Amino acid sequence: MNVDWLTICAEGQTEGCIPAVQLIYLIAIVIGAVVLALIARRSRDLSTATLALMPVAIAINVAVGALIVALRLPIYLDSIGTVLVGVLAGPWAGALTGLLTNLIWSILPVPGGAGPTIAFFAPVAAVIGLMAGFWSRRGVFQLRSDDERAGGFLALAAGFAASLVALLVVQSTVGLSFDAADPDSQTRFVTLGIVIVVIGVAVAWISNRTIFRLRPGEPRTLSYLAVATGLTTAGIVFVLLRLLFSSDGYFSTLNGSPESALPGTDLSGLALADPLGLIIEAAVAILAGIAAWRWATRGNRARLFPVWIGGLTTGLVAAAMSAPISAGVFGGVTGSGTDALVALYRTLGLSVFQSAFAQGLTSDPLDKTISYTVVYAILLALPVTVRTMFSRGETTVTE
Amino acid sequence: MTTRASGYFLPGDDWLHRRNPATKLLMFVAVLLAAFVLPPAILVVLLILVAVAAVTAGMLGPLLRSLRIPAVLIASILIVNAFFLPGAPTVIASLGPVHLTAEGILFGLTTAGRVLVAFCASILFLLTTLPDDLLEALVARGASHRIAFVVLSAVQLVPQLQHRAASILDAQQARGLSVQGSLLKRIRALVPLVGPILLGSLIDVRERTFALEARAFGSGRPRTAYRIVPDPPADRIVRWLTLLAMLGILAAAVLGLGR
Repeated sequence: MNVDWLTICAEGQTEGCIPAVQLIYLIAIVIGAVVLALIARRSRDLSTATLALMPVAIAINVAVGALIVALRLPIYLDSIGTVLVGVLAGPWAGALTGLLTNLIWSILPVPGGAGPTIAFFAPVAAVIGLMAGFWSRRGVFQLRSDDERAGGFLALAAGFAASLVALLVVQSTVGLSFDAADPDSQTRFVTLGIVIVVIGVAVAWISNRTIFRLRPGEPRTLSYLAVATGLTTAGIVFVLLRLLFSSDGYFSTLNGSPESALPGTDLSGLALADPLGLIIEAAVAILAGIAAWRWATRGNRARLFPVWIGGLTTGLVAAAMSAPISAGVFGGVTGSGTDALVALYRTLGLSVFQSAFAQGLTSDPLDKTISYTVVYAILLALPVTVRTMFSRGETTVTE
Repeated sequence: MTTRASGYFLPGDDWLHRRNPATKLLMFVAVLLAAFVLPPAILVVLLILVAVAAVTAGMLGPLLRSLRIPAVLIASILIVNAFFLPGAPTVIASLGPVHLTAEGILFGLTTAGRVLVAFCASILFLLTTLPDDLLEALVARGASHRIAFVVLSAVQLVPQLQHRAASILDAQQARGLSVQGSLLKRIRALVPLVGPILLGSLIDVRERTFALEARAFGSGRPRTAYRIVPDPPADRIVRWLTLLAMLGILAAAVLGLGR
């Protein structure tokens, strides 16, 4: 038997090989099948209360998701129910809810449904449910403002931040280029990647053992969480402003020339030259950070910080999973509000797969952070007698 | 408002309606498999096959009418790929900054064709199959009745949720909630609307749990079925043939036929 075609396509090669996205898609199918088998096994010992909750969660997912599709917004909001079930009844119930949501939605005559599109993303929805259960076991939705476990989340955020800083330093000094033809650059790419990850893990581990080693009832916890909220906001605002307004940011490509994404509209004046632009962007980011810090210091609002960490990480995983599906099955275009983003990234010169991934990285973390926050608000408002019907109901927010 | 989970189903008594839902589900999976693993040329054959099935079952009209649902998706797959496929060299026409490329059209046609085949097959399946029958047939085949309850109840809850939303909107407007005006005002009005919908449905879960437990839902004893879905002997033969066809499709794909 001839198996020559069983090689991964090189750049530009189209025949006698397997495109990389198709391979990733196959791997996703295998992972999906394994998850499905595990869910089927675990679903046998779901309680009647959990089984009664799941249809409601699915209906909420579909109703809110269909509304968002009809409004053509570049997010999804179709996993609020999935996250809720994952938190109240455990990861496997959450995974089953996500899976069934996408399968049922695809056969319902509502916006976004009535077609196989959404069913292909069922594995992603299942993993979102799994992650919600995972984070709820870690206490994301349970932390009081003086809980000692908050230290773990702070250490995790510190590790993330350290990796990001290391990445930026490497980018601006040595450069992180990857050239498939040059084995030296490949070795350097891998080495630097490992170093960056090791720095992040080390910072997270050490800070977890030292400054973030909190005792129960420690009054510092609340102020730490508030400061972390402020710093994260400042960081995100700064990165966003750099992406849009820096001298080679997205606005610099919209120079009104016929080759740009929006011909005729000249926005390149908004691209600010360094160092003035850098100072303005840093100032705006610091102001936003201070505003977020002041907002978080009031009451128990800083408790939302772990919730957002859960949402952001879930969003990153969802983006990494949905990009190969979106690129492999639909060529990156799914007929919803996110298509505008895909078209934008393609004009900016990204490939089919890269633009699908970039779109996911834009939509998913934001989307899941909103979903986690909504679930937190629902849990706060839900009567205790309803919450305690579920296996993990007692481990969610009180006060 | 109907609470019956009929969805797309149209009553009828042709050969496709008479098939057991499990048979139709298997045939649908076979069509999907062929569309996604075989070379794009097979899409034309599959479309003709689905069309012939629709004509002989008298379902061509409803099938064509339902095509407006994926119209936006298919149009957007065609347009975005035809004009924005990265790195496609053969430019046919240029419209300002965007270039119509041959590779883009081909890639868009292939992807759109797969989506179209998948949609037509699934809609034909839904037009001729009552969801209640499908789940009853699957439960009779050993699927979990618990999962079947979740699926059927979710399908019925979506229209109920819309109904509840309408009455909550009326109630809050009667109390003086303004849902018109600026975007910010409308977003603020979402909280007193969405809050009661979500919390009300979640609190109903408690009532439903008690009702289910009172009817021995959690019991492991053998169940009796209220609906009996017919399974004609011809169906067994069709199912075996479909399984064979699926094996053939997989073998053709693995051996790289038509590459």
